[in-house]
Amino acid sequence: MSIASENAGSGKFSDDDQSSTGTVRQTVKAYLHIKRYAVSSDAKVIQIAEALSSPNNEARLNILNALCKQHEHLVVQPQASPDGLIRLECALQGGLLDNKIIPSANRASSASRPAVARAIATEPPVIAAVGPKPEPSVPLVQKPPPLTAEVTPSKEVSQSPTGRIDNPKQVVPVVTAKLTESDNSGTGRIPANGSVEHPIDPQLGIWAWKPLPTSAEEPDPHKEFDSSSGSLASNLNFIAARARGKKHKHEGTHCDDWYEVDTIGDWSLISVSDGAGSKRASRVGARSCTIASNSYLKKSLEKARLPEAKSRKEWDEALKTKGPSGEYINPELRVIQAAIVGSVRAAFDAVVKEFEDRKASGLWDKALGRIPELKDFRSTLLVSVLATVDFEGERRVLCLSAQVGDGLTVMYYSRPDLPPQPLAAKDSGEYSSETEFLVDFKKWDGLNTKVGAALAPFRTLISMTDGIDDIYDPRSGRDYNWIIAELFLNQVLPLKCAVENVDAAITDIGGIEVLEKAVAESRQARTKRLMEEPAEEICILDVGDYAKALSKTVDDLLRRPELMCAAHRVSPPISTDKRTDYRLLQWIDGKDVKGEFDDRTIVIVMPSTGVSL
Amino acid sequence: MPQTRRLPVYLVLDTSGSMGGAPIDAVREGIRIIVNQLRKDPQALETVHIGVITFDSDARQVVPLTDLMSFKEPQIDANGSTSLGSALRTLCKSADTEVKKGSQDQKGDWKPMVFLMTDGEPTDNWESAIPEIKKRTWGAFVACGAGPGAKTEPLKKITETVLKLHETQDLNQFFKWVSSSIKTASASMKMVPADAGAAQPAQLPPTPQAITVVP
Repeated sequence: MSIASENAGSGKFSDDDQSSTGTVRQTVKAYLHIKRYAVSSDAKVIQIAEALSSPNNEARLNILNALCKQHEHLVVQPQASPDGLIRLECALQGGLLDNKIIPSANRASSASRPAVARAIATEPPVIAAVGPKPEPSVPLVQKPPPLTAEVTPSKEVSQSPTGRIDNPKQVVPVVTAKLTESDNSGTGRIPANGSVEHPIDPQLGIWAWKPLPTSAEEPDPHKEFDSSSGSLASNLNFIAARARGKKHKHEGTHCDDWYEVDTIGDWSLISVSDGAGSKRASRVGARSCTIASNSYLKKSLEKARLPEAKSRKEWDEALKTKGPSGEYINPELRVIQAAIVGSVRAAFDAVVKEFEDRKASGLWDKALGRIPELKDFRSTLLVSVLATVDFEGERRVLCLSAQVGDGLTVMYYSRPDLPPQPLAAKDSGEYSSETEFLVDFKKWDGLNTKVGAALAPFRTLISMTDGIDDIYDPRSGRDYNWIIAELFLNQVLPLKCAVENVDAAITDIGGIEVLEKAVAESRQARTKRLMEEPAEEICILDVGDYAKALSKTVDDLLRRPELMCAAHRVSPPISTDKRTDYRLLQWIDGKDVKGEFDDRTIVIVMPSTGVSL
Repeated sequence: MPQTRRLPVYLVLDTSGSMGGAPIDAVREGIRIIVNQLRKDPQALETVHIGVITFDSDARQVVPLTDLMSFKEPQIDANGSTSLGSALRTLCKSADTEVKKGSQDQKGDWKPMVFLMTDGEPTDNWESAIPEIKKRTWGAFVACGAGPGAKTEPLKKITETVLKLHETQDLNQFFKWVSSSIKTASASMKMVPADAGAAQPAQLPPTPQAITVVP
């Protein structure tokens, strides 16, 4: 959650607070925010503000030192500032932006305003070497800001979080601008002469998302990414990954998604959840609900039998439901349906229990600055069960799925005339943009009707949170088929084509130069993941751009995979690591789409022979 | 072509004769403050689009809905009367043509946020435009009466959220508050698609001391 929204929510720290601590608190808040230090609680801001308002150096130093022990982002500079007071600087990994907060002119004249606020405002920023050390060629100290707004796009100091010089195209300018008086918090006065003091600066917009590590001090730590792969029941395999979204990375907050994959007997069980981005403890909800739903399914499906249907007619009968109750007529399917409904209920109960435990233990009180509420644990839930069945002598995959909230489970069929089929409808809350959450769920009686089923020639099944679904929602101008194509194009999923077919495809599109141009036009700026060492620079091709550059559609590429294989001749795989789930993780983590900020989770179920085209 | 869901923001600004001098400078400065502030916020940078409508003896859209990187400062001068009605009709027309509604085929934009500022009393047939405003739903509709001459009663008929800025010399406090309101909205999960029927009152940050909320 951003400071702005915390501020809005709590109503604390308004400009009405004219006390000296209040003023410093404002300054500290704004300062930390601009430094992109994720302030995890208002309580911490109060602590820092109190430290800075303290009348003598000894008291100041004691409080600041205690704070710095807790938070490695904070560094106390031992040199006293010109006013003789210890000042505080935030040093962030790769923290390049050093806008200075200048206290307002009217407040500057106030005798009650603590001197240290001025010290913060007027002294040169110090980028201290905390976390990964920048390379020696990178200057550590920036010059003091000039008196008027000025932005210096500076190649020599632009660096990635690990201190490497980036591609100049991605250079992040070092903004040494001080905010002019008219732009200061609480100034409230316009320039007397009406002159332009603050032109719209084109450079200011070249802002990069800066990933920050997850705050280590919050309860219920949650690894920021994960990936796995393996075998499921009845000749199915899976690959899965989850990654922190750019908004959470930028704010230094946690990934709120979770997934669980299990098997029991003939059944493969997939649960996926997306914790509410605006709720700090939502990851606890996401984790506990997926664990609970799979655990319930394991118990209830242990002895469950599959329908005895074999022919098309028998299956058509079996998949019929009873009127408004939504119950399957077929007794075996009814048991499975009841298990899914029960798993959602069990997931709900599990989240309530986790919440009550934490409320009783006070575990979250400090981080939240209050006693937790159930809504702090909001999450969505998507549950799917899959088994292989006999259908007119061929093996098909039967999948039943239900969900509360957004995200999507999509069945992909091997027949080209069948488009990808979502298995359950997305829920929305009172307003269309607001999703429904498990802990708010009330329509238990209607849950039967929300269990969707599919039985058709199987290519693959994808269960994903909103972070992926929103990108490929057909209304976004993309399509769910694009996911599969992009995974092939980037060599997340292996794709083999005969050499002569690829040669022919390259000839058809106009030769190797056309191909190289298409790859260049579809290549996303190289990104590097902060979250794992050694950080690997990855290269992602956008399948929409690639198809467009070849004057094709993405469906054309899927119909003629040689066109994607051709790209592999001139573009490396997404990662040097050959593990499929790791490449999947690289893709969901690195795929950059404007206006998309969410955590991303994807679970892909496929035949053990792989995804075919 | 893949689309991005935008957060449209309309600034509807009084440029009547009474705004001449320091107040109109403050309006120019205010637009700069908003754009510069929002450009520093990566999330706003990817979603917020700003349109500017000015009104005096007539009203016109001086900046079409534009992303923050392409935004060019409009030429703004103060003269003429206070045609609030024209401003409201221009706003409706702009929103109808510029804001993409979601459908089966496209995601659509978020509901637009409107920030209207006036320093006087409307001089045209402004009341006839009110049904037009009410017919549409807005992500937020904030009207600010700036300075001692501003009448907030008419504004109260347009929207629930009316602010009173006591002195026009404090105008940039208003603009700063506007930019933090937009930031809050773009960062929250509470944005509403343009096609959604109901509008939820946007969560707005507390106002600074120079501005009071008119109950």
